[in-house]
Amino acid sequence: MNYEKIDKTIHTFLEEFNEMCRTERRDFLIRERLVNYESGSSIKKYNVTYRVKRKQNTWTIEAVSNGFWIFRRKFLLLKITPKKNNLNFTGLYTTSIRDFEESLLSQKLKDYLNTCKKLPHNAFVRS
Amino acid sequence: MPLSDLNNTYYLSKKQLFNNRRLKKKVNPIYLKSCAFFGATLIDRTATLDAGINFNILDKIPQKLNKRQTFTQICEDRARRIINSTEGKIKVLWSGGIDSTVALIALIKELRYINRIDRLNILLSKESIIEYPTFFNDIIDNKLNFELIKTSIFDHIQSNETIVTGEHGDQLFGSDKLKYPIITGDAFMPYEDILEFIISRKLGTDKFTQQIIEFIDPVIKQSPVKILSLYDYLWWLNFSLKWQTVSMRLIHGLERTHNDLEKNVFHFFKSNDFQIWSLQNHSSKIKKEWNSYKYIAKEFIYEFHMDKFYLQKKEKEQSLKEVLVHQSNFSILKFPKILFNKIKNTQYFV
Repeated sequence: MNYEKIDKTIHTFLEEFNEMCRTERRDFLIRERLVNYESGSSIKKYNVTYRVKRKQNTWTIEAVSNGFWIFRRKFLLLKITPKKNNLNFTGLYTTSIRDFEESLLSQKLKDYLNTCKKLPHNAFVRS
Repeated sequence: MPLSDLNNTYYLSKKQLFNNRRLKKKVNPIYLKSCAFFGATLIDRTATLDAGINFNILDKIPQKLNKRQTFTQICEDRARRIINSTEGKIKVLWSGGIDSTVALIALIKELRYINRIDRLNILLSKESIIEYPTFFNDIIDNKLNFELIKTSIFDHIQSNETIVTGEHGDQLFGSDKLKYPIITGDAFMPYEDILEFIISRKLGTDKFTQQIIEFIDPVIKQSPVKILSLYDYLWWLNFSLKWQTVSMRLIHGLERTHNDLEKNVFHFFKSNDFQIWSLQNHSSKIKKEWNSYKYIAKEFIYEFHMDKFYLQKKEKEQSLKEVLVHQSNFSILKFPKILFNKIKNTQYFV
């Protein structure tokens, strides 16, 4: 596997993904505490940027909240891992994506971006 | 609560659990993280978790699944038992949601049958009417006794009154945490593939996800229903770990005790037969879409009140709890914490 090429493809994807989130107003995540008998509902909104970190041969894409580093929150989105000679996606909204050849990574990431774009707004920012 | 009482307790509120320093030192820290993930005090009915607190268990998980009753039969039977075991007025807490409407219909049917509909008193809010306006107009308004909540519900419940709630419906059918995973399709994925992402999404960190998954795993192994998908997983946690919290949270707010349960506080779905139904009918809880969640309960409602919109489109919403919350007064002692949280959540540090 050409890890440098994979790195580059993922970085290009992230630029497009963050741009999509900005233009579609999906560049934030909401954590909701539901009402119970002790307290009412409350909502915390985090403005986020999607980033990648690579550990061994796994690329982890996560939403990282803006702000001072000790208060930063991280929300896992997607993991890309090699599986035999293929690549594999695990994570949110990956139901329709099976293992695929490395050469298809760019296309699969585009498909993933489209899936995220088409999701109902609430489902993406609150899920 | 003194720590010495911890081995003889039925419930701790989230405030008691998270705000007591000495208690926090005593309990398993991963148990606390698991409670934070699920947004509730987890009380283990499978007796497999090492939480650091030994709660007394009120309702055991049924081991013998030898009954075969339909959902309708169980509702009718439950209403009959509630009516026969009490005297005088029965106050039903109606939110307009699916669970409390099922409870209300079952009671209306039985009380009409025995010609004692005068015993029924419905406690509702304006939100209840907005939630299910046709039911209010067709069935309740000018036909049945009702009381409109204007402040907190606690002002409307006397200490000796018999009340019926729609609690435990979610524990039978799934979990309200499943709404967005169902919409995105993630709910039907193998739970092993998706769980760490869901936990991280709830906690805002992936630091404890593996520990939480391993901590809860013994409970998953206790399920008589094979746990495959995220849906199965969250339902089983709700059923096995949150059941007792749901039983106790209202009576805790009312400053009553567990002794009042099944005497003058009845959670409609808190019965052995409903538990057995849930374990035997796992495939009847949802079809695929979120608006089919609790479709069996919605069909029960439709038989009584034919509102096609409610049957087909009604989604599970937040319930009457919104008006049940104690209105806490502003406290100068809380101000620094509020201010700190505000600063923490703003972007001024960038």
